[in-house]
Amino acid sequence: MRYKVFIISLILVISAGYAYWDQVRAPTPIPQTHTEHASDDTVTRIPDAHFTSLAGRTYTLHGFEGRVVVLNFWASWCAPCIIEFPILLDLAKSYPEDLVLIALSVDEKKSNITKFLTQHKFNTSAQNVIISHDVDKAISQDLFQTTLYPETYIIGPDLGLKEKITGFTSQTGDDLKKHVEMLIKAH
Amino acid sequence: MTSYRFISVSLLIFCMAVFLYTPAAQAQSQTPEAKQIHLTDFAKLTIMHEGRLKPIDSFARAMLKQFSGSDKHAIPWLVETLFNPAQAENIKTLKISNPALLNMLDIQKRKTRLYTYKEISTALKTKQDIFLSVLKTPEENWTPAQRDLVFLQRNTALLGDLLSSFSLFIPLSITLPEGLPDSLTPYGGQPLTYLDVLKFRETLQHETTQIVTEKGEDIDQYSKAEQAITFLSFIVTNLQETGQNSHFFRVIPQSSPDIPWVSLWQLILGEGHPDTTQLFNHWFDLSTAYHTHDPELWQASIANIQNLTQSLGTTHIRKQALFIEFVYNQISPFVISAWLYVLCLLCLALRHRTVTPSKQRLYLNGATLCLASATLIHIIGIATRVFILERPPVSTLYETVIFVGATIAAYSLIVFWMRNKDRLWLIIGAGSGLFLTLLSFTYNQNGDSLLMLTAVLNTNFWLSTHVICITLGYAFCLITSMLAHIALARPDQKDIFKHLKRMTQLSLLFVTVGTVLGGIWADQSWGRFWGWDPKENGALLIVLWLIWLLHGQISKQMKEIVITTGLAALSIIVALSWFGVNLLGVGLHTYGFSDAAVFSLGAFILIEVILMTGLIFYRIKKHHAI
Repeated sequence: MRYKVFIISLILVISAGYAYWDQVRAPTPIPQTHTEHASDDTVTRIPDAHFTSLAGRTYTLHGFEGRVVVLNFWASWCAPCIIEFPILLDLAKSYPEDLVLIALSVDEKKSNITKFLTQHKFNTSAQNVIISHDVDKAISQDLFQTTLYPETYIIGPDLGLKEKITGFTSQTGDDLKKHVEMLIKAH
Repeated sequence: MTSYRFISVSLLIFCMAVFLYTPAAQAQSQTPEAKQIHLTDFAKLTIMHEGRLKPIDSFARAMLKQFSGSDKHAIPWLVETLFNPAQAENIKTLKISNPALLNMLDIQKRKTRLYTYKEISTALKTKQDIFLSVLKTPEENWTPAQRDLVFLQRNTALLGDLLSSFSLFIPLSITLPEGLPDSLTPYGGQPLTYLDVLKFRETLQHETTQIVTEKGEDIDQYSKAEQAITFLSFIVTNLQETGQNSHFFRVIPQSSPDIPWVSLWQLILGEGHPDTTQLFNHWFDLSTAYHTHDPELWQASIANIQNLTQSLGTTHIRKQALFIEFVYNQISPFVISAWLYVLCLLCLALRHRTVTPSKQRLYLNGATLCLASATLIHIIGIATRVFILERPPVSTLYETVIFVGATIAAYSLIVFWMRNKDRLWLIIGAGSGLFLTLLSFTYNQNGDSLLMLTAVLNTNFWLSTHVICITLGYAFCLITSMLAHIALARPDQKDIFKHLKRMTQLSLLFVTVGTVLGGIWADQSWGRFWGWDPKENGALLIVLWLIWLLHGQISKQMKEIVITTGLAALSIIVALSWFGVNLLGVGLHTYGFSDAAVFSLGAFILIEVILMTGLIFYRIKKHHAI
């Protein structure tokens, strides 16, 4: 009889103990919905790279610390890039002081870039717009692992990667504006 | 004491021998390409597979087991598959056991039942129409051969995915010769990879278009250089197409634990960013090290990959758990415990045949030590799985089998030590432990046994109460049934009947509490306490069976032989509830269906019926003789 009472009591005590522990323990964290934003508390600076604009001036990516950078990889033969290009130029025009647009072309022939700009009559004369040739895809492919175009990175004033937009959709322009505004306000 | 020391040393030597024999312990490649490089550290790298982070060793074993039914030399096979796919296409990896399927695919039967990727993919391509017609048929109408065809198609696609995992790094089978147009001259005469070609792909496409426009599509009209250009263009397009589907070898962590890891191909097709570039480059170095047979670069790349993977995924990589899983794979604790159960039974057999008391004592001590070691290793194996998976020990059919085996072994050992030192308990413990461990191996043939759970099961509270309770109930029911068999054979032993009664009550307690808890869980998950699901009916059947027999005993309305036979038949009731309901293919609890299981269950029931009938006749005959 004692044996039975012991077994039953043991089961009851264990079950009650577990039920109590399950009530009082810290709740299991529920996974948050994934956003495309890079985590704000872990700022990893983007790698530095040298590039020369079509105008012949040499820059480094880290040289733009303190300003929001929109880094766009594009090609003259890429149809979505042609649609996206004026949107990026408008964005740069809206924030002449706080934003820099770096449009790195992955065209294999530099002459195709000038041909493209002339053909579409894009105004790239603004101070904060830099058009450059990514020779041998050294920045796009080797540093940023970009092989599909267009691809746009939004880099914060702390040189941390804030957003990556692959491809182009009708939402891209609004998304870009929203993120850039948010970063500029925060700065 | 001396006998204990002798047995301990023997056991230690035995365990070491088993460990050394374990194929995984010899994780050095025997293939000529890889003989200079050590694969052990590669096997420890982390991968995401089936929603879980695991060492590549586990991944390789699961994959090879899924394809061929065996995980022998899994790491050398995986290395060959990843880094040398052209060679790996000819390794006999895919298993076909169904002769009807072989006929369907026009493939010659082979003794090993293993076929190469090349053979199967070619056969499947030519029989596309058969496959498509099968897919149009409702799944419930598929013949076994048609089901195997769909399964083979999936496995072949999976193996193809794996074969193309590193195709972006591997030197292409073509180099551009002399006589190239000026735009391509810098790339001539050198080995090229897919990544190299990406740098001048625009030019390559331009030149290809020009060649086709000028000379048409007849390749015989092309010069050697033109043939090479068009061929290279074709290879690169083809590689990109297969690479787009290569999502299986997920070794690149993402910034958040909630985002699935990505494969190397996914990185360069939109998922990559500057943080992952370095890691990507280290994987490239690893591929280079394999192809150049450079052990230093191989080891350095592995160390770099390990460090960088850890630093990118610090928040969600459990380093200790990964290491323990690797060791668990190497040791295979359940294989060791199975051997120890065999040793225990051997010692008992020797004890039975020996007449010298000192030798009898030696063998009995040996059997006890073997069973104790086997049970300990069995329990450690289960505990390791709990630590790795961070969930209670019983969640899949495989886990119920190993858990019941450990429970019976442990219970028998305790009774043997605490109660009467009756050898019978050693036989019950070792026999059941061995039988259930061997049975568990048959439920562990289709990949990884360390599985993530579906959402409805993923609640630690119910897994640790209802499931454990009901599984303990199964274990006690099986002990009851075994005792009843013995009671049928030896009715003169009153001690067995006493124990049988207690075990019946204990079984009833656990099965009833477990069933009620299951009802509460069902109410919370599915919104009803009881739904007459086959599994629920099975559990109820055990409860009713035990209540019926206990009532018969208490009210003295049943003869002792009827009660004992009823309790012996409990094993059949448990087997039907445990495995049988899954074979019906209906209800919310169905899992683990296989044709082999139908045969095994049928055979088990038949053997039990014959055994019980034999025992009853034996007893009646003996009773009359007395």
